[in-house]
Amino acid sequence: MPTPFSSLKFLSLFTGHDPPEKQEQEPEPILIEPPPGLEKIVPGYLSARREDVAKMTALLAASDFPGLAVLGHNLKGNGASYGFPELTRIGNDLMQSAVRQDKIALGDELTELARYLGRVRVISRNSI
Amino acid sequence: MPEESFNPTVPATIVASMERKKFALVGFAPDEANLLSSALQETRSLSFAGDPRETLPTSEEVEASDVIVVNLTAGLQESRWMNRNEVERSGKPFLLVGHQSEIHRYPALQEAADDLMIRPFKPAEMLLRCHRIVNRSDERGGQRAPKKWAARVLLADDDKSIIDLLTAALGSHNIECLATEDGVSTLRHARRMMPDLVILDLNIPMMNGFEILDALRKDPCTNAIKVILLTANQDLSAIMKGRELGADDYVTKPFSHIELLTRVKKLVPLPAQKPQLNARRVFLR
Repeated sequence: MPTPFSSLKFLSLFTGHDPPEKQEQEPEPILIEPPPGLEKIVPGYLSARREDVAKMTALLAASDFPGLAVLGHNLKGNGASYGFPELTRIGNDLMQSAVRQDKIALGDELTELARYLGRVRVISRNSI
Repeated sequence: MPEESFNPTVPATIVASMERKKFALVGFAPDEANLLSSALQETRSLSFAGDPRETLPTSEEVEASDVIVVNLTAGLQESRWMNRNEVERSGKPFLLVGHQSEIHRYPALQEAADDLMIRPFKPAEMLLRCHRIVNRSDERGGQRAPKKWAARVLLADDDKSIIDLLTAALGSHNIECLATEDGVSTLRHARRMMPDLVILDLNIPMMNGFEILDALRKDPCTNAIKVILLTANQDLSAIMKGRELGADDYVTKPFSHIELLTRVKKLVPLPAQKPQLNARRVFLR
């Protein structure tokens, strides 16, 4: 695979699905209002989760299931705390798939995570 | 021991300004306490002596004193005087005395002290340092300098996102946040920093939360520190085990930071004040 390559393209090797850019051109943004008091730290949180996708993709390639379970467990714990219940759900799925060492499911879930993070937009109370 | 008796070269104005000031000498052996008392009495200052083995003033004596002079000694290990929060609660300015290495072992006390006196010292040095403390204190109406932080909380979690969230939530309420990411450093820093509260993740590397909680509760120096368990585990048996080991409360992840803040406030009463804009977090190794 030529470099640089996208996580989604790499993950398609595990899932057998086409990379999303061939399926949807401009996905609808998901608008999330951060919990009051956390507005300043939510953008940094999302950036860190986007970096996690790359880390988890590398862990999947290395079949490092304990490492994936830890990151999934963390995502489960911190997602909804930052106002992203969807991330908590995906984190839980990732953790369970890592425990089962299910590469296909992990690939699907990482694809779902990358898509979600690509669509989510933080809105401020003032912009509503 | 001080190196010599009262040094008469202390300026007369200082000696005069110390007249009728009262000192609580804490943790000094009787002979040293007597020597210091003699030096202070030459300025017509008053000092107190309590327990004949080591001076331990009563609450009334502390209340009546202008300065508390705390000597770091093994005899104080399990006393209130080794607890930064207890010392600060007395509301009196205090001078911390000890060898350099001893003082470095108690950074929380060191930070809270109005001044330090490293051994060996001369009684005159104690007088000069106390004079400086008393002068500063008099300008504030006899009280200690206002605390920069309303409370100190140790955050123990290996997930940086959770540390960031807690720091943002607590820091905006003037709570100082210190962070550790493994069990061993959590225990070490809890003993050294004497926080008001530990927010403790159960699944933390090197020692799990139950082991840390158990160790905190078995140590007389740390058994009064409040602990909130933070866990992704909603298993009732884990929560019950935490309660049995002495946890004051628990919160399951994911959590609302507002709920957590409410629980923190129940355990660590905070003075009503304008929230600070800048949260601060210190990562400890």
